[in-house]
Amino acid sequence: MRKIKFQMQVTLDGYVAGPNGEMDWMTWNWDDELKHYVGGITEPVDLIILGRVLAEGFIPVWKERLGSGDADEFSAKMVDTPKVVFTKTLTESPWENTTLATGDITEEVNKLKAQPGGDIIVYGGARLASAMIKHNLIDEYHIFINPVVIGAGLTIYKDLHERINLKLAEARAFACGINVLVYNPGQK
Amino acid sequence: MRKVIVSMNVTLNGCMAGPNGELDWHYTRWGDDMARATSMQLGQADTILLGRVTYQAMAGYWAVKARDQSGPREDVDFADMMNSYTKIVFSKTLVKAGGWQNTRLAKRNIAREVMELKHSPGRDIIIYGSGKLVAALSKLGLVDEYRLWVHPLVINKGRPLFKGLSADLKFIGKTTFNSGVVLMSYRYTPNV
Repeated sequence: MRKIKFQMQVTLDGYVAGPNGEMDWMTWNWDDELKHYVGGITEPVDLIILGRVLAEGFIPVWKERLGSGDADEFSAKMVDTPKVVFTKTLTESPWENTTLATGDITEEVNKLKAQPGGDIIVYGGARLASAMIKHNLIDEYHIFINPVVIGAGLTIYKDLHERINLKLAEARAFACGINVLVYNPGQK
Repeated sequence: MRKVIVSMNVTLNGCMAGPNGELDWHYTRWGDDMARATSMQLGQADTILLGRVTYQAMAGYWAVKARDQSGPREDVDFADMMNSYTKIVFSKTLVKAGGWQNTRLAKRNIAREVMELKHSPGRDIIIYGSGKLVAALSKLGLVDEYRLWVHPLVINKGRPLFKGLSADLKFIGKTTFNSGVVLMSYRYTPNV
């Protein structure tokens, strides 16, 4: 069955954005090794899952970047890879190469997993990530820990009943200051 | 100048305890490799700062350990350090820090006490637990290093270590342990 990967930038205190969605804390000057590492995560991916709010920024931004002077292999991958957007409000996809998932999250994700194909990656946003973590739908967590604390903000662990146990698969430090911690789901 | 080091067990989402102060998750992932790393860290220090709550939880335990030489070598060494090092307790309610050798109450406010310690000769100054004390020192910018033992779990509505604190940090190293705990060390860099 296909693997669901989750990739998320977080602060050391576990937030994915400031209280008003601020992203100014993120490390942008990734070193080459980290870029290569991310390439390795993305390479076997042939489906991207996004929440509706994130999709509204993500999809046009990558399309624009692909058409600009900054275009690279990664932006082509982000644009060309088929996408599924989870939404409770949209009824028709306004984007190319994108279908909507409007049903129960566990059923929709299991349906995608059962289809033939490569890895599936989830980039968020915070609400979709929360729901997927809560329902234990992620097979591999790639948590990018940025060297900063912000003291308050949005979390991806919001609706958990109690706690989740994880299993560390790998911990890697990168020269730009980001650490990537890779986890699989642990025992309940 | 001496370094003030916060050594804290945290969850992946930055909590140092569960919503009701639960610490059970510390023990399930403890192992020999972590014990050795903790001993090495404490070996670089000679002074321990504690808040009242952590002090009261630790004092009885370690005072008994001082008379018990039966455990494994590293455990006995660690207990010796815990007992022989200078301990300074910060409390607004205690009038006396009794029952644990080499322990005294802080005489001044936190900032002055810690600044004076930092400027006096000696080795590292380490803080275990003591969430409120750590929060106060963090706000004052008096913590030089955060050594976070990141456990592979998430606790909803736990007690956050960095509540209300905003700071850029410099990553300085990590150690991965068999149980999946990752010790991540950061240097505090004041926001300019």
